[in-house]
Amino acid sequence: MSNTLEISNLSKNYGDFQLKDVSFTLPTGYIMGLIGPNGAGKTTVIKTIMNLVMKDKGEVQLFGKDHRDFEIEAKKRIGFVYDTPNYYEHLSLKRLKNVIAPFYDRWDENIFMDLVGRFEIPLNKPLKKFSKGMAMKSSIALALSHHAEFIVMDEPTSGLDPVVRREMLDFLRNLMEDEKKSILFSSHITTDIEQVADYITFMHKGKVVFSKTKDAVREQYALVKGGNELINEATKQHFVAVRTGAYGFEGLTDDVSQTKKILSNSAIYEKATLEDIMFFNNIKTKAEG
Amino acid sequence: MKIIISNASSEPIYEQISRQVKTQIISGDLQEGDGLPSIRKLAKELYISVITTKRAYEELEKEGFIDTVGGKGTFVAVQNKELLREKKMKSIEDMMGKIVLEAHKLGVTHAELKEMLDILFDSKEN
Amino acid sequence: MVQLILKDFRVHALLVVICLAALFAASTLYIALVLLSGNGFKTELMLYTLITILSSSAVSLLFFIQDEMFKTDAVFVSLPVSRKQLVWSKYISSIVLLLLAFTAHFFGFQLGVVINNGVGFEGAVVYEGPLLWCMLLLAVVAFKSYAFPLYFKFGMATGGMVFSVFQLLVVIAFLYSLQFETWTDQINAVVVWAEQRSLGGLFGMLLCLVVLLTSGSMPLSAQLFKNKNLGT
Repeated sequence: MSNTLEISNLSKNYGDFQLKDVSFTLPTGYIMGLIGPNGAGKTTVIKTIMNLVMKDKGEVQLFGKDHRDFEIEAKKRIGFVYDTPNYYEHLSLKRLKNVIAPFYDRWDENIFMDLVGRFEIPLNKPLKKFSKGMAMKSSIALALSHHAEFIVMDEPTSGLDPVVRREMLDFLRNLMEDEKKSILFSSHITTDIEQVADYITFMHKGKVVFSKTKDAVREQYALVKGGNELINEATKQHFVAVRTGAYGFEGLTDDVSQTKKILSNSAIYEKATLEDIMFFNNIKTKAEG
Repeated sequence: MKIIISNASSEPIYEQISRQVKTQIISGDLQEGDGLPSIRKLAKELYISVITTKRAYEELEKEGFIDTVGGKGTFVAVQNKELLREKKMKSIEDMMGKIVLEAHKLGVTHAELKEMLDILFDSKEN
Repeated sequence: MVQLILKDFRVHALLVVICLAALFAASTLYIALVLLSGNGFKTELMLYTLITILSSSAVSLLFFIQDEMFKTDAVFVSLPVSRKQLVWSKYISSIVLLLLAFTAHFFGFQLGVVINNGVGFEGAVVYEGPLLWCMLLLAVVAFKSYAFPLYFKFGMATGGMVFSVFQLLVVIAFLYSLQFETWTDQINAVVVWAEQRSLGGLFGMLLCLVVLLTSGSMPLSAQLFKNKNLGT
């Protein structure tokens, strides 16, 4: 199995913000969701991959080659979607397309027109009159019309209404019928990632908390609830974080089978959502200070 | 082929798939040599991860229910009828084991359990 | 690379045409009015030279300003182009714009003279030939060669400040030269000197400038831009 993206020990010091030893791998043919609260470093990682932001340390490989040594070659195979697309606003999509298309030898007008039709984007209206959803759809149409093998998207669904978001996600999923394509997209909307991702990379405060398959995350994490008597210094070790209330506790475990052995049937186990995982990791970092 | 996935179930999704495919093979709804959708196609249709369908197919292949022919696709494997029946019997036995355990907990007697079974059998036959 | 240069002209085609038309019209009007009002005033001619330099260099920064406004550098870096190509394309399109701007002024000047029944400035015939204009163009390009690296290092604000300082120097030079009655003669002398060496002299200057740009300023800018964080 080849890898579309391989990041190892990526570090970047940005003054008040740091990326620390970020490593993860996206095998070809899969969707990876990059989640984390605002300020976790998702956008910085994506910008580093695209060589918009310079790394201090570490390696980034695209299609098995260094992302800077083979920059042009790699970018021909990448479709990139910004969170807030900065295009010339006075242009229509048609004119913008005429500017972008000649940069790619493999630009496919049929795909573009198909996407424009499917997304119902007006071709001749100036971009500044587009809604957020329209603008995002335009960006996607522009990024996907050159047979890109790797689609990189920074917060493609934020600011979109639920119906458009769902359409967008379905569209991404349909792309994956082609096993040569890979997608990396960041979002702080965890349900989006839960819906489409094969791999999940969770970042928090510039570090990768985990990067694994969605199934593994599902099986490994659980939300545990029970009486406060179950929680002591020893049992706490099995939780990412615990919060106790007057009538019981709620905690996140990252090793559900082990926790079940220790607490047995006296606690309730529920599936942890990504939101739960993010939330409890945040409690943990706060507690660590 | 019919597969219904429940996200609320505690049964892992790959197990839901493999179980349902197995049931359909055993019941004869899926016949030997029938083609199954590709891993990617199925993942798309079910709105789940490719990794999940892959794992389900791997399980099914390991247990001999399906065969993947390189370049051609995945098919229901030639089944050993005896073995299938044996497997089915085994699963019934497992379920009955659970029933007995529950019955025991509640203090339901052997005779009462038999009676319940008879009633259920009758209603099914009518 | 060619696409990078073309894209600016494509995107801003209308703006470029409007700006050039404005320069052309301004030149024509100014020259015609000055000449019609009394067959040439040296101070007015100097002021005119100053305006052409300032307005042309402003127009040559058109794409820079647009890119800054829409923050498009980050967009284009994500296309299959290298940062070096991006830098070089900016130089080239800026110089092309400058060339167009001076050309617009040049023809505007000619039209102004035509309107005055073909009678130009007394003692300033050199303005009617292209040589002086080429020299002005080269002077501004030479200035760009050290202003641009500052832009690529520090961005529009600082780069613009340096540009303003340059323009201020031009204004000071102008005010200073006003006290010499004979400055047109001196310019004439320089142009005549260059004319004697005919195209050779101009070509020599052009060559020096190209070398200065391609082996000094452009690689330096590319180097400075290479490690810049974009779109943050």
